[in-house]
Amino acid sequence: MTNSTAAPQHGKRNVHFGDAVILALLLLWGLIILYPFYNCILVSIVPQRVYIRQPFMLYPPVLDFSSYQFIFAWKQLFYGFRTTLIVLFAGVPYNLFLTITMAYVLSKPIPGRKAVNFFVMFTMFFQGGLIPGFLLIKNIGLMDSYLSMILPYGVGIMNMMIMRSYFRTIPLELEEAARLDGAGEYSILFRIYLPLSKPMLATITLYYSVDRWNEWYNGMLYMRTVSKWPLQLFLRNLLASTTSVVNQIPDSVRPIVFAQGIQMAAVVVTVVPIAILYPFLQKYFVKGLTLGGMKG
Amino acid sequence: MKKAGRILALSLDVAILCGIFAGCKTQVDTPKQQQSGPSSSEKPYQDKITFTISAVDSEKAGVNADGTPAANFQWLKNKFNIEYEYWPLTWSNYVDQTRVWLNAGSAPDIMMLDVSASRYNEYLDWVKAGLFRPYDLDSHENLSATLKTMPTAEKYKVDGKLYVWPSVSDLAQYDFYQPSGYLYRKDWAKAVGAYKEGDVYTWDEWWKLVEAVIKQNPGKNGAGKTIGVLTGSDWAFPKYVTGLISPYMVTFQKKSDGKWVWGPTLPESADAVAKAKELYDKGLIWANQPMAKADDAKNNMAAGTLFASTITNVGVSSWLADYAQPFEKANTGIKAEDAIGFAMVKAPDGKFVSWQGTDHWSETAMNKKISEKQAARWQDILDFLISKDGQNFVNYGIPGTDWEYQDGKVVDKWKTDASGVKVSPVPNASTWEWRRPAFTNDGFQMLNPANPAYMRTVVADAYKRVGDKSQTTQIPMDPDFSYYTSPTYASATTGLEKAVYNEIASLMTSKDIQADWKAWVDQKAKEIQPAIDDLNNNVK
Amino acid sequence: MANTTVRPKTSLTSSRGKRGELRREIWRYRKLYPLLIFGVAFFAVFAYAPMYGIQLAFKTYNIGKGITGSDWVGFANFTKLFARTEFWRAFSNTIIISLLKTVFSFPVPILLAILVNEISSRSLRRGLQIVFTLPHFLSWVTISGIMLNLLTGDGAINGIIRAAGGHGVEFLTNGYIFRGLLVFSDIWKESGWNSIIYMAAIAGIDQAQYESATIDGVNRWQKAWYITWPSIKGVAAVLLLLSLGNSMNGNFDQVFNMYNPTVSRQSEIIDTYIYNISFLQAADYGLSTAVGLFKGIINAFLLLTANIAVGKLNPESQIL
Repeated sequence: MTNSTAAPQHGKRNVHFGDAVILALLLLWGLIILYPFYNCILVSIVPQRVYIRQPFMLYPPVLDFSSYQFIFAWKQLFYGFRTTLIVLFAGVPYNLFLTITMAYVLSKPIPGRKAVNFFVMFTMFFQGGLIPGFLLIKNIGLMDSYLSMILPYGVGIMNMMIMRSYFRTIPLELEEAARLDGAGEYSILFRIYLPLSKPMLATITLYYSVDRWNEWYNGMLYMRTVSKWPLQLFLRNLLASTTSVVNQIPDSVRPIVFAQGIQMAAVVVTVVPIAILYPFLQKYFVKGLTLGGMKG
Repeated sequence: MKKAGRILALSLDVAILCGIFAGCKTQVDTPKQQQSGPSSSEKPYQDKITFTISAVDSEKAGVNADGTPAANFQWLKNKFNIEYEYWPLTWSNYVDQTRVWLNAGSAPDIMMLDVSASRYNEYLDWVKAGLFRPYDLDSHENLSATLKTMPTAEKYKVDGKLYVWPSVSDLAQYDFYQPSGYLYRKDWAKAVGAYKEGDVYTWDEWWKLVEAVIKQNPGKNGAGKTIGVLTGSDWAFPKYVTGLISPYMVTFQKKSDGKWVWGPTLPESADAVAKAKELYDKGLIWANQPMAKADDAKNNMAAGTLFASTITNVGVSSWLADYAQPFEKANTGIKAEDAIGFAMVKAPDGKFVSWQGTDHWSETAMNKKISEKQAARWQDILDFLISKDGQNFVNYGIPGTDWEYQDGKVVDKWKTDASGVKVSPVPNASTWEWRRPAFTNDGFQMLNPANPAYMRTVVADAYKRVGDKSQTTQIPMDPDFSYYTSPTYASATTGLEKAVYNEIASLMTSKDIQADWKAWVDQKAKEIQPAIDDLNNNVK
Repeated sequence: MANTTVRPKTSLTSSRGKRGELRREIWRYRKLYPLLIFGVAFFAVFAYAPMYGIQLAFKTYNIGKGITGSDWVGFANFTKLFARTEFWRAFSNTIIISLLKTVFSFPVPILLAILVNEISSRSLRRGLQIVFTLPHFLSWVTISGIMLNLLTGDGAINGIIRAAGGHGVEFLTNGYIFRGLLVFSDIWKESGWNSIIYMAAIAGIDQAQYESATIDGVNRWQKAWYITWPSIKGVAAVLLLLSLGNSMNGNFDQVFNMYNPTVSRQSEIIDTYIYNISFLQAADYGLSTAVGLFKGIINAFLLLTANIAVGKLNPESQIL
């Protein structure tokens, strides 16, 4: 297997100009993408009076971490982290297991796969609604349980379809060769298909992980105990209570808060762990995993 | 290797699931309750009662801002020997969540509802379905006495029984009329020489003032960079700027001959829209008003780029938290008291205009399934909270420690902070525990010692003005109309108010406003004629 | 992996066929069926069990009677909806905006993936990958705040345009330009995140192919077309079909946070329209279920049509 991480080489003369143009375009786009995000980080670390005068900054003239202090002052934040981590570490393997098994089986020309396909896709278009869903969770007995967040989100149909389509591109010869060597079905799945699908697996792991990390809706519906609220739900509620949503209450004592700062601090708190996870998954995007001599 | 790793991951997963599942089956532990003596001397309640109760911000329940246990809550719990088990709600979704609970048949003992006029029919359906337990007012004199002062109370009664307790506003002395106006830079008004002592302006004086400020630019912003008038929320813009001329702009009016008409069809509405456009074209109203978001007014005021922010219902707390304090933070050296004032502007006919607000906010319902004891205890709590002593407890804190009676008047014993401002010992708790189920303390803003004195006076004066018929055109709230609905009416008027707001906002950039407005109104009026007929038939 | 293998086409992949061969096929794959049970069970429990709720589209919900006991009203919920011109406007806006996004927004992640692939420095590649995905984590509330700030008539962007000699652009007051803004902001926010999957697909390509192509004197664009593209077109087809099957769902968060009354005529989508008419009102579950059903039917229709069209070009890429 040649395992190279070099970019494709194109021959000598036009390379440098073409490379330069591409690089320039990508860097420009990167800047357009990055600056607003960078500004958000700055907003989270400056005091309100600076933001008011200057919503767009290049550097923070004064540092002020009270937005973060506000968020971290609530013990609830750590409960939120705990719940989200539980949902993540239990949920993502659950997601992967369901997705991979379905995608693998449906990628084979197995009788009945069209029916199952239809069975799955139908749910993309037609859902039962809020109340039946709520009753289901209640009747199974999952109210106020972490499972009420873990179980209802099992298969992301897009992810499953992509894995299925990807499994199909793996040459059949490999499977046939393995069978000749006496390998069983599950062994083929584990020893051949999964290792060859690493980049895609990494991708859907990332997608599921981020989905789980951002999940809040089921937590809001089903968690009765505040200490079981997921992180995002807590942050959403915190933000709502600092903004005009609370104008609905008759004039009561309102804490003086810097709404945009807290909003941005919440974004940073959400994104940082994902940004840390990212490089670990990126190494699976290594190019050029090939089968070299195995192609018949 | 991969296979082993995957199997390990899977079995770990199963193990985690089992563990979680097992753990989740156990009951939620209620915290151990101290049975030590309460602050009040009597202890009439022998049995401890636990309520499941839905509340927003329930994570703040029972704690001060710094996390220490809140004495107030403890005092109430001891007095009535109760414990709460919270079902948390979120600000952005509490109505829908409660609705789902009710529809799924699993609602808490005590529920915070937000019926108001718009969801009245839903409320009636719920009562008919037998979801709530009626309140027993005869044995609670404070509750029944208060109910008599509420104009809308009858609406919540079904077959003579009251199924929710409306959290009544303490503004009855002003008949619940709302003072509206502008928070404005009075220092700039002084600089251009058009300031009026007492902050009351006629229509012409006010708009001349705005024009002068924009031209003379006392705020030293770039040319044309000063914003005249801005509304932070889209619903306030048409209501206040055009509402002075056509108070029924967004709703229906019953004329003196008893017939209902739709506000926009009235001639004064066309007049109001035309006037608003004039002001907009002159640059007196912010050019980006149609795109304004909720925080724009406060942010611009603090940044010194805004002259006046429309306020449909002035409140000390929002004045302080949204305008005065950010302003002082952003403009060190200037006192908000000197810079920002509250202006009341008369309509062109020389009188103020004020709309009557609702006499309550939100309601509390008791689940049909609660026990007699629970119901009795809960009503006792409400009865206490609405009594004089109870109101003082909610507003001032623990009797004896935080306040006391002196010659029949309430005197606070609050501490002052470093800058000499009094600090309220009442923590900012969850929505329900003791703070709001019985009443809302809008009126207290004018008595609260922690509020700046000048704000309290100004707001109190404003309320007095709009409570005075000779100075103000009062637009009363008609409960029969507000709470009326029928399938015809509902289907004809869904989204109607918002459509009016949106139309006015988008007409600010029209080329021929009279024609466009008329065209739109005529077309819309045809569509909603069924609603008007319905009203004429059913709401006399 | 290059897609060089042709799957054996047997008529027994459908359930019609000679009984004996069908049984043989089932026996051949017998060990795979148990694997399928988990996914099927999941859908059965969490998607199909609650589906009885769809009947509400044809009923008037009454809490006392519950879903099953409420009265049937036939198509009344639908006629209520269809009678309003605003609804049809919202419907056409939804289709138009989704179409615009499919045409303009859909190709960008693919382009990004291909271009990033060309960068020789590995750390720069990785860095760009991360940077491009960052806006995905911002909420539309935040993004709309930024955009509104920059794009008003007197905002920074118009300032630059005027300085360069142009006229101010009515980003936020002209409905048609605003639609373009919706597409652009969608690209800005999601193209990086959506390109991850294409980068993963590219990562699976055999490097040897590039090497031998270089030796043959092939230029970079030809390589992109003949080597890179075939490997990702399978994924692209799946995503395109799914996105078409999602057209009616618009993007509530985006439109709701970004639009204003002056552009609502051209940008009100079904979801925001329904929100506006139900705001502050009692819940009308019959109506909302009817809307959901309507959207689902249109979505299914769009997907089926696209699926058939794709089938004519490349049967492998079909979803159904």
